[in-house]
Amino acid sequence: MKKFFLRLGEALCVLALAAFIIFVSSQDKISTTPFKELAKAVASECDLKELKKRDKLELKDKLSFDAAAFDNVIYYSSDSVMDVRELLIIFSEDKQSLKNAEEKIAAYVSEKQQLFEDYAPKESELISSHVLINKKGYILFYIGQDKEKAASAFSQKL
Amino acid sequence: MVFSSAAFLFAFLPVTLLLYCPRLFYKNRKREIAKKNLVLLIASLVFYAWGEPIYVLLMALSILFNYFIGLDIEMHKDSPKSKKLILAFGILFNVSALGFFKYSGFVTESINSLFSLSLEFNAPELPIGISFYTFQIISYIVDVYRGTPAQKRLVPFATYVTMYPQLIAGPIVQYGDIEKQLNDRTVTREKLAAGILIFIKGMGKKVLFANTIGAFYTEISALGLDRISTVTAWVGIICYTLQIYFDFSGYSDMAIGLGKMLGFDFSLNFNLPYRAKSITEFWRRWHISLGNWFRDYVYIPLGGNRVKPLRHILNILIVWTLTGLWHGAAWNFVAWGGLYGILLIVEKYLLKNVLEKIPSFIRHAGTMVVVMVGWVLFSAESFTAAAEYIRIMFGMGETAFYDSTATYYLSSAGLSIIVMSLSAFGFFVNMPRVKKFRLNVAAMAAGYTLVFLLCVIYLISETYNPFLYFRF
Amino acid sequence: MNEETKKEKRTRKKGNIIFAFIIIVFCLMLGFFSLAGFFVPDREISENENRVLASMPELTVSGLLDGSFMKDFESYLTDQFPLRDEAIYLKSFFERLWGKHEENGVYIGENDFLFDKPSAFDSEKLKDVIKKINSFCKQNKKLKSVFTLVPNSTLIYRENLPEGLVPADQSVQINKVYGGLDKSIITVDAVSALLREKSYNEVFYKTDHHWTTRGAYSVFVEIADKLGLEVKADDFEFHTVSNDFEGTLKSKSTFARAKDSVEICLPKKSEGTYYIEISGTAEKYASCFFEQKLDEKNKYEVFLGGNYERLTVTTTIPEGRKLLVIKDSFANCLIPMLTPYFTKIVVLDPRYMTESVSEVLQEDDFTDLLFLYNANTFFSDTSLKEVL
Repeated sequence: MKKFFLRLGEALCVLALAAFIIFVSSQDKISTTPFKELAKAVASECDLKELKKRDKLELKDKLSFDAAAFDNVIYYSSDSVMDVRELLIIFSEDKQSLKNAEEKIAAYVSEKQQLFEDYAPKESELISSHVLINKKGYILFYIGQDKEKAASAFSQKL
Repeated sequence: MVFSSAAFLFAFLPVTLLLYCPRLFYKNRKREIAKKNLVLLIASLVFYAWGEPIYVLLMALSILFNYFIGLDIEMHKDSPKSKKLILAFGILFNVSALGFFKYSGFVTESINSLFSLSLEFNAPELPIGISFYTFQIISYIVDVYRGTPAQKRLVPFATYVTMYPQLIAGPIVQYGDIEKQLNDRTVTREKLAAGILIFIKGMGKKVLFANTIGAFYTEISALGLDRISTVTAWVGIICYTLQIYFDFSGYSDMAIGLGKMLGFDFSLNFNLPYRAKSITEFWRRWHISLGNWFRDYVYIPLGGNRVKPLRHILNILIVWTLTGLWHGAAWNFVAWGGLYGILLIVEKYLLKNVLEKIPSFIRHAGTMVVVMVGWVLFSAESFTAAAEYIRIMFGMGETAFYDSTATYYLSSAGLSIIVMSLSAFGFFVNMPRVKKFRLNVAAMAAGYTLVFLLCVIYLISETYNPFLYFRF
Repeated sequence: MNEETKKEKRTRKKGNIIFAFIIIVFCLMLGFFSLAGFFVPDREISENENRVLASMPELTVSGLLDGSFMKDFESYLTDQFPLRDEAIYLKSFFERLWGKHEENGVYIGENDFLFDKPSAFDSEKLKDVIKKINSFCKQNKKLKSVFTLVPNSTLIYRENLPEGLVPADQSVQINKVYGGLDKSIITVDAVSALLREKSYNEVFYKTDHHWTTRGAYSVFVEIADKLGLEVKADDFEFHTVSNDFEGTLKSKSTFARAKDSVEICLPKKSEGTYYIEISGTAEKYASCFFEQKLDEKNKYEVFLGGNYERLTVTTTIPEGRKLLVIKDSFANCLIPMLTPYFTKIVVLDPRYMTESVSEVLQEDDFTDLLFLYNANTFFSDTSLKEVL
C-alpha cells in the first residue's frame, strides 16, 4: 500500500517536472499576436501626447541599428530635446537580431541617462525607470509615465 | 535574497531569529525541534522565493520527489537490485532537472558548433542555487542508499534542503553529517555568540574586502587587452584572486555563522587556501565541501585510487571535468577543471618525490602562480581572451611591461592588496591577546562592532555587490 | 578536585558573560537599524545625491511574480536607510584612506584639485555633429561664425592628476574637431590662452567642473579678437562674491578639502545698460548676476541664474551687432563680458531647446554666431545636432 502511494507520488512529480519544463520552454515561443493589435493595445496605455511617429531612418539615426532589418516597427519620440519620452515596439522572428537590438537599446538608454543625470533630475529619473522587455519575438521599449500599465498591456497581449 | 543587503539584515533576519530562538515548548524537546524546523523551512522558502518567485516551485517539486525516493529506497533496503534501480531513477530525475535548467543552452550551443547546425533553443534562466540544492539532495538519497535512515517526515527533510544559510551558495552539507542535528539541536549562548562573530567576519570579508578589490579588477578588465601592460595584468589578476577568495569564503563564513545561530554546526569550507604549497593541498583547502562531495559521491564510487593507475587517472579526470562543469555551463570552466585534474595527476605520479625536495617558499609561490593563471581561465570570456591575458602576464604580449596605468592601479589598490594578501595568507589569524580579560573582551567587541558598522555603511552606499559564485 | 571545578566554573562563567555580551550588542545593533528604519519617515529627495529617492513600491501580484517588487523594495530600503548621507560620506572617506583615487567618476588629485572624468572621444559620432555645424553655417553665410572649444581641467591642470592617470590629450582632440570645421568658421585657441593665464590666476575651480571667471576672461579676449571687438586691458573689473563655493565635483564625490572663490566680471564701460529675459518667464532682470544663488549650494548659478532654453540680453547700445550664442554652462560666466558690444545677445542651450536654431535666427537679423562649449560636454552631448 505504502509502496503504491510512493510510486504514485514519484510519478506525479515526474509529470509535474515535465509540465514545468514545458511551461518554461513555452515562455519564449514566438507570439502569435498580430503586430498592429499589440502595438495599438500598448500605445493606448502610454503617454504619447505630442509625440510624433517616426520612420525607420530616424531609428537608424538615433539607435544606430538597422531597423530596416525589422519589418514591424513602431517608434514615437518627441521633437523637443527636454522631452525624454519614447516608445518603441519591434517584432521579429530572428532571435539574434532581437538580442542585438535589445543590447543597443540598453546602451542607448544608459547613455541618455548619463546625459541628463547632471542637470535634469526629473528627466533622469524618468529615463532610469524605463521599460525594456524582449519576449516572444517582441521588444517593448518605453520611457514615460504609466510604465506598469504599458508593461502589463504588453505582457497580456503576447 | 542576499545576506549582505539591508532587506536581509534588518528585516528578514531579526524577524526570523525572533520567531526561531525563543523556546516555545520549554521541556518538550521534540516539539521544540519541530517548531524550529518549521519556522526555518518557511523562512527559507520566503528567502528563496524572494529571489526566485517562480522557481521556488521547482525546488519544492524536487524536494517532494526525493522525499518519496528516500522512503522508497529504505523500503527496499533488503533487495539490492531494487534499491539500485530506485536510486538510479532518483539520480536521473535530479540530474535531468539540473541538466535542463543549467546546461541545456550550453549543450545546444556546443552541438551547433560541433556539427554546424543551428538548432534554436531558448535556454531557461538559471534558477539560483540549483547546483547547491541538487547536490545536497543527491547526497541525501545516496546516503539513504548506503544505510542512513530516511526522513520519515517531510518537514525536516525539506528543512535540510532549503535552509537558508547554505541554500544559495553553500557550503554543501551532506545529509549524513547533519542528520542528527536536524532531529535534535540546541541553540546555546556559546553557539549564538560564536555564530554572530563568524557571521560578522564573513560579512567583513565580503563587503569590505571582496567588493573593494573586485572593483579594481572590473576596471582593469574593462580597459581592453590592448591597453593592459604586464604589470597591470598582474595587478588585475591579483585583485581577482583576492576577490574570489574573500567573496566566496566570506559568504561561506556568513553561512556557517548563521547556521550556528540556528544551532547547526557546518564544517569549514575554506581553510586559508592561499597557504597551499601544492595543488593537491590547495584543493584540500578550497571549497572543501565541494571537494568532499565529489570525493564521496563520484570519485569513490568510481573506484577512487584503489584501482590500476590508468583507471585512477581516468577517475581523476572525470571528477575534475565535472567539477569544472559544475562551476559554469561553458567550455572555459570545463578546461579550468580539466587543467586542475591534469595538474593533480602530475603531482601524484610525476612529482611525487620531487616536491618534497623543493624549498617550501618556492612551492608556495609556484602554487600561487598556477592558481592565478587558473583564475584567468576561470574568469575569461573566451579562450582567446584568456590566452592573450596570460601571454601579457608573462611578457609575451604586444603591450609594454610597465606603463602609467600600472602606476595608477598600483597606487590606488596597492595598500589594499598588501593588507588583503596578508589576511589571505593568515597573518591576522592569531592576533596577540592582551592579558587582562576585560580589555580583551572590550577590544574584541569594539573590533567586531566596528567591522559590522563599516559593513552597514558600505552596504548602504554601494550598489556594486555581486557574488561571483551566484549563478551556480 | 574541588580546585579544578572551581576554575572550570570561573571559566565557564567568564565565557557566559562574553557570550551574553556579544549577543546583546549584536541584537542592539540589529534592533537599532531595523527599528530606526521603520520609524524614521521617508525622504523624497536627496540633496546630496541630487536625485529622487526610492519610495515604498506597490505590492502587486505581477510585481511579486517577476521579482520586480523585491528589487524595488530593496532599493527602497537602501535609499531610505537612516543616516544614509553620513554613511556615503564615511565610505568614501575610508576608500580614500586605502588609496582609492576616484570616487563616483571624480578623480581626486593633488593640491585639493578634483577632476571630472573626461568624456570619450568618438570621432564617428563627432563627424555627424561637425557636418551639421558646417551645413548650418553654410546656410547662414551672412553670420560671422566663431567656434570655441574649451578644454577641461584634466588638460590644463594635468600635473595635479593622481599618479599614473594620463587621459587622452584634449588639445589633440580639440584640434581634430577644429580641423573638421568649414574654413568659414573661425576657431579660437582656448588651450593656449588658459595655459598662459594659469601662471597669474586659477583658471579652473578645484571643486567644480567649470572654469573660473579669470579663465573665461582669458578666452574672452581671444574670442573678442576674432569677433573684431575692441577690448582694452582695463575695460573690466573683477569682484569676489563668494569664498566658500563647493561645486559639482564635491557633490559627486562627497569630498573636498578646499573651498573655491567665485568672482564676477563687470565691464567698466557704462556705455549701455541692459536687461535680461529668460524664456518661460515674463520677468525682466537688470543684471546677469543672480545674487540670491550665492546663498544656495550651486553658487555657479550666480551667472545668468542657471541654464535655460533661451536667454535674451537687450542692451541700450544703438544699432549695434546682434549675437547668437549656442552654448553649454561654461559660457554663463563669459556672457556678461560680451554685453558692452552688442545690441542684442540671444543665448541658446540646445539641451533644453524645443525649437530649432533656424527658427530663432528668423526672428531677428543676427550678425554674429558664437559656439562656446567645453570639451567634455561637446564630446558627449547629442542635443546640438538635433537643433541645428
